[in-house]
Amino acid sequence: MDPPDERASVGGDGALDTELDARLDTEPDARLDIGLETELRSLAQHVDFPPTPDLAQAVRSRLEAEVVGDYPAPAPAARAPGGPAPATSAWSAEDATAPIPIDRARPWRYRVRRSTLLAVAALLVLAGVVVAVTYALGGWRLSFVEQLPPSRPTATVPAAASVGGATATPSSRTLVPTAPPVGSTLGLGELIPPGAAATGIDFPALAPPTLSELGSPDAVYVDRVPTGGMVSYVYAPRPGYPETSQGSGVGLIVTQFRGDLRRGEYFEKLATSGTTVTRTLVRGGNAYYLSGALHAFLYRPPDGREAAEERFRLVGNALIWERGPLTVRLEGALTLEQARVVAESID
Amino acid sequence: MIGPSTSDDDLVRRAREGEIVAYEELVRRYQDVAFRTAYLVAGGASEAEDAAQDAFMKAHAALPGFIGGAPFRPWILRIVANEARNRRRSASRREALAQRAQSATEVGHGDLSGVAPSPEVQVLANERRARLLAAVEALAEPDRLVIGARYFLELSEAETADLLDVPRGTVKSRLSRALGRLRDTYGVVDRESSGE
Repeated sequence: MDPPDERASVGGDGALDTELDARLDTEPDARLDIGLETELRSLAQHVDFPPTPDLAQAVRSRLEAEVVGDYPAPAPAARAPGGPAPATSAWSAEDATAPIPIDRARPWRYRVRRSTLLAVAALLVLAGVVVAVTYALGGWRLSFVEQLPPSRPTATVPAAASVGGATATPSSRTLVPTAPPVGSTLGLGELIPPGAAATGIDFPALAPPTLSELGSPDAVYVDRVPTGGMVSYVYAPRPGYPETSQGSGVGLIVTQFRGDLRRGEYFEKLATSGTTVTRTLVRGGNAYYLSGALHAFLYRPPDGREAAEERFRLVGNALIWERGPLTVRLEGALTLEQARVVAESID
Repeated sequence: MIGPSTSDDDLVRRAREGEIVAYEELVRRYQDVAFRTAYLVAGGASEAEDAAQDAFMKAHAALPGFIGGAPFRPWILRIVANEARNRRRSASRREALAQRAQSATEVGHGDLSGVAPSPEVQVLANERRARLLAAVEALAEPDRLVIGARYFLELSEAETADLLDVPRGTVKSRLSRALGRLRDTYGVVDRESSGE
């Protein structure tokens, strides 16, 4: 989209020659420049610039690895013509030469060199700058919002009643388990007996993690929602696996569901500026690790019904990854490395 | 779909909506001129790569403030130039612009009446170009930059002004002065070519 008016002056030899012709009238030395400029233009094809690196790929990798920290809100639409310019940019159509105070407007937290990017290919542990990017895996997506909606645990509070009474109080306050089994207040579906096969799902469920330190799940839940069903392994807090969030009574949750949910049906995480997203790999599959501030986890039914039937709760650190046709989610107060060890142990 | 026919405007809009592949395509379109611009300013390939890459990242972060319909190229080049200035090598460490090695079969360039020149003529032309390039390299930084921007990168006057961080109106006079000084160092050959 080179502006024609600007390029015209250098667009071709003809334009430049015309320019020189005009100068010949006023500058006696200009005649000397004609030969010189011709040579310079011809020299251009022979200048040995280093080969251009694949910036497109590098930039793409960085954008995908980007971490959300400073800029929670999705990108605003372009302002209306003539409207006030956004405070963060002096760019406008009227004044194309205005300086862009990007350095001040956008704190740059990381600089990534090519060598780093190569390392990233193996294991992406990167934090970066933030732009409003929606991350997505099969049946799952992550959106950034300025503020989380109030918590509304579906299993403990009737949806209709929760609307009026909802506050920003973290869900953990209302999720204090009053009785076993662990995780029964999380809306994960129906508790099935230990060792029983999961029924009501239409995919072969992955077995629980095989870490000896973790042991067997304390409870297994099966739900018909979403499409194809969902299986959750829930663990009470134990050494190395503290409560996921204060008062939750849960040390670890591993949930799996089909990644190919129906169109418009998906789990959604809502994160704010305090949440950090790190892209990583689990057994070669795409994975995201979410840490930092609590983020919201909710289920969007396929027909677009809104809040009243969303399942919604606030969660702590989470690792979510693709495993063949399944999407698996792990929740726990774990570091990325710890979470990956658990995830990798799932056969 | 995104392809060569997708306009920059569309790519900018889609990139702003979070489509990373749209932005990737924008980067692909301008990475050559961005990298070379950064190289001319910074004077080193690794600095140029960092500068250009970071410039594209910053531009992406700033997309929300980018008005649809405005040309992307001058905007990104301005950011590139700024990044490259921050990484500029000292004059003693700068990588000098060199002439590309010529393969034995390579025919002469087009300004010699379009006829493939004899090997002797090619050697002479090579030597002339080498001397001219050396003369450009020997110029003071502002002169070298303005000549490199206008002739080697073929930037517009406005883009050159951004690169030099000077008002648009001064590019012409800067270029004229730079050519004058280049003529002084490269003068003998130039006078020959001008028939004086």
